[in-house]
Amino acid sequence: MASRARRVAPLADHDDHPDVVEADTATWSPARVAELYDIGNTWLHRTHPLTKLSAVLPLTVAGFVGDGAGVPVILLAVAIVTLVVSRLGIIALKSLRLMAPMTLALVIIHGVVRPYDSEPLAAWGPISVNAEGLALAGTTAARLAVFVIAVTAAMATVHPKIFATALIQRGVSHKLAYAYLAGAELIPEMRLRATQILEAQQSRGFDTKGSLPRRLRTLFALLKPLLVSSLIGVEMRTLALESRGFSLPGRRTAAVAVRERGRLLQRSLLLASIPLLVLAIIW
Amino acid sequence: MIHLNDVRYTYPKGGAEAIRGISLDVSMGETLFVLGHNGAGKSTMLRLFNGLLKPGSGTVTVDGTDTREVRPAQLSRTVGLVFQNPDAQLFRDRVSEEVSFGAENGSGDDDATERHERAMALLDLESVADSNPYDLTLSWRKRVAIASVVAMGTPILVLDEPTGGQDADGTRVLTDLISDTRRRGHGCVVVTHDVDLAFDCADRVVVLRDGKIHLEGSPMSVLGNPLLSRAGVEPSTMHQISGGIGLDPPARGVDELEEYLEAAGGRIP
Repeated sequence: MASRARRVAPLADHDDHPDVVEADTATWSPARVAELYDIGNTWLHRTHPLTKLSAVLPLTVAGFVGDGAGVPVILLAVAIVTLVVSRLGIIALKSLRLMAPMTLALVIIHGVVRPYDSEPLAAWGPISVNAEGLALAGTTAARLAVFVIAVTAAMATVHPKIFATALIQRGVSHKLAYAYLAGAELIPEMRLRATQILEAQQSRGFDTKGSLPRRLRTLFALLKPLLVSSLIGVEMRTLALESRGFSLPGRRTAAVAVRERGRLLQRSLLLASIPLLVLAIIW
Repeated sequence: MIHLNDVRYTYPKGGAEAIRGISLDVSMGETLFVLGHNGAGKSTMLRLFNGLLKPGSGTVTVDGTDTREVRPAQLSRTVGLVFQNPDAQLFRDRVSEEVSFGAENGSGDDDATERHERAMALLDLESVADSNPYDLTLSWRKRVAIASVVAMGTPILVLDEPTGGQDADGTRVLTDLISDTRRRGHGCVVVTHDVDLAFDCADRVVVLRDGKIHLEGSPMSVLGNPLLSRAGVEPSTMHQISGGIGLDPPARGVDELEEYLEAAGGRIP
């Protein structure tokens, strides 16, 4: 059938996956591609998946250097400019979108809810806004944003399957790699399922607009099938994995091979985290 | 009742056009079967029928109302659409309650209780009325999902792949349901890969290919058409047997085939 699946651009050829040396990527189902993944061929796409992952640690640690928001804000600005110049502005946008609710929560918790001894900036009855709290919220949000943008940039420029394969090639358990792969596919799958459920319920007269009780009733009618069908899906997937010997011990022969490179750079990046960590502690 | 005029549709995320200039009418009292290869646009077309999808260009009207102007929930009282996957809609703890839900949301000539009872009987669900739908097998859950929409009493019933996973008994129940819909003067649209069911039950068959109508006409004319294979559809069994024994025009059913063979002295000419 012509499914209402998310229309994700198909994985056309090897040019999109420069690290893949042994796979017909065109056969990979586009509907199962992770929500985050952006097909492309920029320098970041061409960087080895584990190099990108290794860069996340020193960047995140560097965000904690200094006691204010200065360093993380500079790192964030550099990251955003680099992404925009590399025509990957969409990744910066996705990261900031992810950060928006977290930043709001931090501002409310630190700036409004948490009590301070200093004079408030403004007050409306029992609610007051404190400068000290806002500064803390800003610093925490900036540090988190550095981590989020680093992870998003690393994960959005590599197909989850390639990333999982790179992990397995470096000796990570295939079960752990599969857990990552399944997790990456979870969001688009759930979204697709939720759309199907919403459509099915609308076809039976459910109106998503209207009064609060009506909306709550609709929510329940959406949640139960979503939950049950997800559980059925997990059970089916588990059985399918088991029937194909997934839990058997021993090394796997990979259907996909990722070109091995960048080991020295990866180690250097991980080692760079140590002095940065020391700096973050003492400064 | 449903009128599609030069409808085109492309999914928002891009890609190829899913529906490419389809014009089609579905009338009351008519049973229309839609066939075609996977990805031909069958399910997309069904979603245009009840306003879940709005056409990119062209118009879809249901009982004179442009589907762009109303919400799907409003159209659901005219066009009852049953999805392929029953697990996308079941949420009550008992089969009977699930079917009641459709009956309560619907608006037929008769009251909700009557519609509920008729749907339960039509889909042969009385024996599992108190069961939890999720304790039943997929084919039974599919019946529950169909019954819940049938209980709405809509003038047009649209079934997406209703025979998938059904055993002989399930297929018989569906055949009875289609006959009942026709008897009541309601319209019925069935999307399926079951060519023989289309041969037995359809008044009209539409074959889609790459988002366009490839063939359209009576089951006899369409389901033996040499162009059918281009749309990834096999001729009906009756057409294949008739073709194999040189019977032209093809037999309309097993009875006619038997009569022909008896007349020929049991020998294939």
